[in-house]
Amino acid sequence: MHTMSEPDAENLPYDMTEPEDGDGVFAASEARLVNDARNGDQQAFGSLFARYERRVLKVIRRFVPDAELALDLMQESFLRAYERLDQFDPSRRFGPWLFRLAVNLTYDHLRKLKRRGRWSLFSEAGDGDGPDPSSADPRVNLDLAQEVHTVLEQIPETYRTVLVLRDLEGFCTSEVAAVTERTEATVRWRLAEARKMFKEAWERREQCIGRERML
Amino acid sequence: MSCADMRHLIHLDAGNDLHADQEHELAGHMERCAECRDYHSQMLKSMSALNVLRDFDSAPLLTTRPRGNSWANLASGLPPRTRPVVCTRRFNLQVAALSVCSLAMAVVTIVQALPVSSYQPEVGGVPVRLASHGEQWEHQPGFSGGMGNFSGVRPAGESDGRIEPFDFRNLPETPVNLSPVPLPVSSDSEAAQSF
Repeated sequence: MHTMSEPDAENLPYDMTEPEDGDGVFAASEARLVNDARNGDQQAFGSLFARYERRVLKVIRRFVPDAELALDLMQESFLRAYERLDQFDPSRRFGPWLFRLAVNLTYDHLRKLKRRGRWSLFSEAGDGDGPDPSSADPRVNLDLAQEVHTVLEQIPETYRTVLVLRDLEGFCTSEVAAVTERTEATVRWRLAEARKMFKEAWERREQCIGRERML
Repeated sequence: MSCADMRHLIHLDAGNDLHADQEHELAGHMERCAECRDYHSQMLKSMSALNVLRDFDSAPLLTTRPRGNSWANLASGLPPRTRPVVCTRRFNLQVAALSVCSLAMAVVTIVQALPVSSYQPEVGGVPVRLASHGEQWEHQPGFSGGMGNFSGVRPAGESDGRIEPFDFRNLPETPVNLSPVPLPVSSDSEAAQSF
């Protein structure tokens, strides 16, 4: 019989432990949950939701800084996964398939935003406050994590996905390969290129800040 | 291996993604190459910046919307699912191959049975098909592309089985009635409804 691991989830009768990769019992129970969800059992899908909710949200937030938007995208990812459960190959793992859906959905949204900004008469101007004139360099006041995120955005999507999943989310190379549907050799090559791109972009940013400080 | 190849290994080494033999090879190269050592230290410095973002946790976000609430929102939007229909039909390649073969054979048979045309175009002439010998064509003079010198063909009757030219200029004149035909209208209301 399934046990409730969290008291606040009333409608989730299944075990909701965090995913542990390589665990055969976990994989078997996950396959059963997926099968139940495919047969229309929403509570089984609720258990899958509880298992992957946090990790999917973290991955999306690596690409989308806006917290509320990331939450919406996370829910949209699960909704899309539920609608497309028939397309899921039960012989494969559910996690990489779900992460791929989430990453693709996030990129689609970012592209849509970019297109809208490109063709709209007025673009969003943030909070409306300009840089503080008393500060020599407004970027110095920015959080370092935000700066790193800005630099990451300069990396092409193909490489950024690999870098985010491997270096920020701690996926192993085989997992990244499963998410991106590429071979491990391709992932390793892209990973090396992505780190090189990040290094170059980060050094450019540091040089830029150094020059402005000298002025 | 060259320094360019080593740079690739350095990028992988920054995230501990090297195999044991590659690590050994890279260590041996960096002992000899100061430039690559410097590049390696720069790479590690950049990766430390990336680690700042890695340690940045999104946990506070979850407190704004509790987990149960997220699932409740999602569950309310889930469409009802029906049991997937298990498809037991399989594509029979043999039947398809046999059908294609028989169709091809039929096409070849029909094409071979078709008569070979002996038609040869002649400038200024109209090909006239013989009624009794359908496969043969005879060129009739008189066609020049204009309406004034056109001669059509018509069956020649029972005389000799040939088709003789038909002269359109000798057609009897029949009057053409161009007056409008009145439409039957029953009443105004019905007409309005039908309109």
